[in-house]
Amino acid sequence: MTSSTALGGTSTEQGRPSPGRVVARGGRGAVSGLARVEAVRLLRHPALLAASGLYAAFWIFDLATGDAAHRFPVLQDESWFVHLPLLLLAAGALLAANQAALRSHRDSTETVYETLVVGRARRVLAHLLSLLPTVLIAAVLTAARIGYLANRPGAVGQVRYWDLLAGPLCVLLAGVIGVLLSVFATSGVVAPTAVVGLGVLTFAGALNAGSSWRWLGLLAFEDENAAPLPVVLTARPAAAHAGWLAALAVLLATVAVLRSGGRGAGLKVVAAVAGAGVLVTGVVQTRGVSSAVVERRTAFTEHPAAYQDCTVGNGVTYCAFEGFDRWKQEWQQVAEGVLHRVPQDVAGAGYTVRQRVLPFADANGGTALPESWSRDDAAAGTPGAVTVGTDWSDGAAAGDRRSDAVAGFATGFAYRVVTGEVPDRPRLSMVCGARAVLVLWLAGEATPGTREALRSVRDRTFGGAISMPLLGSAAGVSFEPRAAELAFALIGQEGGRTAETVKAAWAEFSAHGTTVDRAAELLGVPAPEAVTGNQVAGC
Amino acid sequence: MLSAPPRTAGTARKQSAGRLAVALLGPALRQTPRTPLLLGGSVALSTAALPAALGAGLGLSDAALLCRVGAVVVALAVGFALDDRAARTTGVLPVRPLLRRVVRAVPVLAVGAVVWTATAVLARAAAAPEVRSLFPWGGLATEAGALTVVALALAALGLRLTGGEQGGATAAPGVLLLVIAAALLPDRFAVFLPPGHPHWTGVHLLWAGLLGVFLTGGVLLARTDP
Repeated sequence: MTSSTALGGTSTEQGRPSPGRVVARGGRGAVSGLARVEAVRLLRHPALLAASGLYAAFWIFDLATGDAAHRFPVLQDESWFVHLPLLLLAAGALLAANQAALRSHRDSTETVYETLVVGRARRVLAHLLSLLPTVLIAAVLTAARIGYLANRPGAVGQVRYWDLLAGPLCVLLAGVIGVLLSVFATSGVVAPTAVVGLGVLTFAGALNAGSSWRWLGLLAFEDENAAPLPVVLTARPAAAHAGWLAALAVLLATVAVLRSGGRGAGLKVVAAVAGAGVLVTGVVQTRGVSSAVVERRTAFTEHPAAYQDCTVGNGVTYCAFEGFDRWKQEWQQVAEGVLHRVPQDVAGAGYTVRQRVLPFADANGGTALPESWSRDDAAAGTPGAVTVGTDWSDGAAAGDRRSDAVAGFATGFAYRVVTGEVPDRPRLSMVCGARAVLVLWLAGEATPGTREALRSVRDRTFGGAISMPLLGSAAGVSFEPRAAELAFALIGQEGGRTAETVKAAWAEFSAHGTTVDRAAELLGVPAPEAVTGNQVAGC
Repeated sequence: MLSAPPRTAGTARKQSAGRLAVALLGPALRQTPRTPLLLGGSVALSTAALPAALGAGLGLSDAALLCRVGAVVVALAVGFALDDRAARTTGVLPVRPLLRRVVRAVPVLAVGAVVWTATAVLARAAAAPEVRSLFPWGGLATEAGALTVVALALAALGLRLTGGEQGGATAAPGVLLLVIAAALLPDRFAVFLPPGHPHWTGVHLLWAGLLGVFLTGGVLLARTDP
């Protein structure tokens, strides 16, 4: 009994080839057979296994520790951010594919292979096809990750499917580069150096997140200091980028086959079409943000009320952009945590929380707040609305930017309750004396999350003054150091005596001229030591 | 009349090893894989030289990043230092495997150190003048040293898996995947910190510990043939 072999020959039942009956079939069947064998070997390659293991380790660690960092994901941002750990798999694919394609050189069997009916070009093609199961695994991992994030209780926004495609395509492109490099150079160091080069390109793109050329890298980052935008304001040319990655992968694959001796008009046509595809998609993806999106961003920034849906809960109105509704309950917990500790008449004064974006804010915090906000609020019947951004976190778990968003909203809401104002000056509004103590204490006591976020701000502050810029702008509130010291000493104290004292002496606490010393006296605690001759500017 | 003190067995062994090392140095230099060093050196130096030549005035974090790129490519190059295509022949020689490998590694390490230092000088020159004096030589050198030792230890492991021939095939992917994974660690576990970070000293003690652990492991793996 005989059976067909992957290379187009036949073998006996014992596995030995029967010399007289070898059929010279070096076509599609042989290539696909070899591709299947190489695909399995590729999946079992230590570099790919280690990369997959490390990818899984990050996720398992998150799950094992409760994954508080990803409790409030914004899905339009996560749609591209999920690819960051996938770069591990891309590196593994590049290295493994290169080592697989160089195996015959390493083992000195290249000359032996030349006697087979499957030529070098077809073997290279088989190595290229062997990447497909790895790409499929990358796609499954991406789908699983975004599915997991979308099902987190605090997930908001919308999954962007074109962005999701980029990750598996990065893995494909990396694998193709690995095979291509094996065609041009047989040194084992070339592929690792290429990984370093791609890494440098990716980092350079991340450091220049506003540039359009970053789309010519594997993964286009956004500014890590910028808050997410509602999905209608995002301007990622994700479809063009996916097309560019796919076209580049096909182009490099055809170059690899042609270089290794591949012939045929069809191959050259594919290369030409892929080359044209690379050019077109490359130009499209680097065109920058369209004027329509810029206009929409301006409208959303200056007149947010027109694009929001509002809900009333216990006398407080919460207005959010489309897709962010789920976070209203988080804001409500903070608001109610503050209002619970103030006198009844103050708590029932009627407040509004309005979500806002500042997409044109510069990284140095020098941007002024739009003057239209107060007019917009008045027109919507919600004067003095407290600003909340498009970031949220479980305390300080999700990093500084999201932690600051929680602390910023809590202090902003408490500031509105205590002073009846919202920060609308072009610079930071200084909060002094007992008012500062009160605002910080209310914000810190509102929820365990606000307490953790405020402590995180304090731990990253030098000089004792706590500043809370509004959405990264030049405006916001700042608290004098002695008041902050007293407030942090009171936050988290057992017994609730402070709450009773605050309610009883609310008028004096919230009055403009009450000092830190008087606040300490009212609360029966020692006042923080005064620094002689060190007058705080603005107080 | 005074006579020379009798030589102990240990002293004789050391002198013999020293002579052997010197004798092996020439052949080892001829066998040193040059492509990894040339390629790695070119990437490291050109990556750092470009912003330095353009007077980019980088921040300390970005300058440190250039230096770290240099450390990674030097580690990759060093990872190939122990490759020995003639391992089946050299394995039967009456020379201890550890000595043979040390002699192969030392010249590559020396060139690697020069390349990294030049990269660091260029990276510092690419930094803004007001922050140059804060360039953290010690910490970055510790990271580079640790990465290099990790590469050598992985290469020694690779030798055991490939009959003593191809350490680089294990070292290069190993170093890269570890570096990428380390770069992706969450902020609270970050090991590639920006200079001036409050945890800089603590994390660099960790790097020094890593260096010691991998050095010990590498020596243990390299002292015998597979």
